Amino acid sequence: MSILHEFFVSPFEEFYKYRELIWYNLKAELKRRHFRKILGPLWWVGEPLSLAGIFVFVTTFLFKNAFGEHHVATVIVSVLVWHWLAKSVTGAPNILLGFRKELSSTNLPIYPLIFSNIMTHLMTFGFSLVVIFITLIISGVEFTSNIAYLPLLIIIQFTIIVGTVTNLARAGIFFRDLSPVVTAAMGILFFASPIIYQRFTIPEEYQIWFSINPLGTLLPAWRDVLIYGNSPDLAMLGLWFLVFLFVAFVGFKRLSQSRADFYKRL
Amino acid sequence: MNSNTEQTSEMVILDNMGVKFDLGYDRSRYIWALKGISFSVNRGEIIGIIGKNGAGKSTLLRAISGIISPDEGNITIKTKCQLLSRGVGLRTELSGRDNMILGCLFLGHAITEIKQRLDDMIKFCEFDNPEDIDKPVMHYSSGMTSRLLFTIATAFTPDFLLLDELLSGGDISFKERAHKKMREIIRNSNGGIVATHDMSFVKDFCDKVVYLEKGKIKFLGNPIYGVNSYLKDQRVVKHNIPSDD
Repeated sequence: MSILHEFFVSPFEEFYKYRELIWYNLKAELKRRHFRKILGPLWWVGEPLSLAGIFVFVTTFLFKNAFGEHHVATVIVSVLVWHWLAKSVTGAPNILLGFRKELSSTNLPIYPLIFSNIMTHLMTFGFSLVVIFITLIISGVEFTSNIAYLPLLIIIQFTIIVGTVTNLARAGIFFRDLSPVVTAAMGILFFASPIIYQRFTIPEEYQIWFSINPLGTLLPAWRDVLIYGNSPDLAMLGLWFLVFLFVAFVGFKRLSQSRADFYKRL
Repeated sequence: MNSNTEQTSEMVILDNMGVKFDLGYDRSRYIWALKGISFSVNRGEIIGIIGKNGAGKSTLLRAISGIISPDEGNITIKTKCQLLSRGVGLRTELSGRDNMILGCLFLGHAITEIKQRLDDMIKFCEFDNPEDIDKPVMHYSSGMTSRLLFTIATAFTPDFLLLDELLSGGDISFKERAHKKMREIIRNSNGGIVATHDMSFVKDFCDKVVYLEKGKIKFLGNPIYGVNSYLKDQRVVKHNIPSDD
């Protein structure tokens, strides 16, 4: 099998082949999440919204409107976009461990388990996106033609998530300490990324960090497209897209290579 | 026993197969879970795998089904085999019906086939209250859980069976129906390998027995003699089992 086929065709073939399992597993996961909760599915947006509410409060009263005119909308957009990434990545080391029984007693391939997890988070972000647009409209944000870049941003962030999740899901089986390490790393990344502050407010000597941090490009791009009506930094976004496409390729390849070793680690 | 025994082509061949497990992260420290395993299964044959817990029965079935790769020796498979075990995890927050669908999907079956068989599966579970199938599994008794797991595992008959401890659990009436179901599955398959602690099943259904002890074959051959040898080792020889001399 050629590398091109393995990279560009095989994951999509697997996705199509196991679409029913992915769909039912996704539905089961969503059902499980709001089981016995009074507000039920409302928590899919309630959780990121409450998080955004806290940061709106903190940035409004402690940071004194760091984002200017559309401060509240900017914080909500940033936090909900971050929440999609953070939820997907922090759960990644435990994805396959959560299917311990199935993986040790069936020939179930790995991809559908990874896909259904990623799709679950993508779907809940869909609800967040509705909240984002309601917030933007209430805040009086004027949309420009640059909003057409929105699908591009979703694809790039999705690629970053796929690349990170595939590698962490595999590593989580071999290194059980990974989950708390990733949670701590995401906590650091939150404050080291321009989520609740603007990138240009950081001193020049630290700007290099934002060049090697994909979120240093991605989060301002979300705000440019949705709030400020500007065109995003396409060159940097394209670079990060290619980097994480490669990372995703490595992740998928290593997952399928090490399938037969999983049982010994589960 | 299976009626297809007139065809003797080998379906599964194990040649000096071994599987080792690392002890922690240090790869230089390991134990052999299976070592020097050699036997073959002909079309139509049912092989029983017996041995104490930890003898390597489940690992052997997982190696044959391809879930785990051998560290030495070879496994040749000339058929499509599937492991049927109680290991399909139940989502306790979901209903029995949802678990049936999800479990069968995990086992590789198509949703259209599953939906066609769903009513039969629910009927086979034979819950006292039929509405229980739509209740969360966390409210099920252990007997109901056993019925559900058995039903999921045996919903479809693969070409070549690999059965892992399917008959444990459940009440007496369900066990009888489970035995009947197993007979039906065996009749419809092209042979299989069954890991079990149920010695009467081995004597009644198996053509050969593999008695494993600490990952090695201690006995391979006639099921009556194999079971006798195993029970002797367990110091629970029963009057109705003939001695091997």
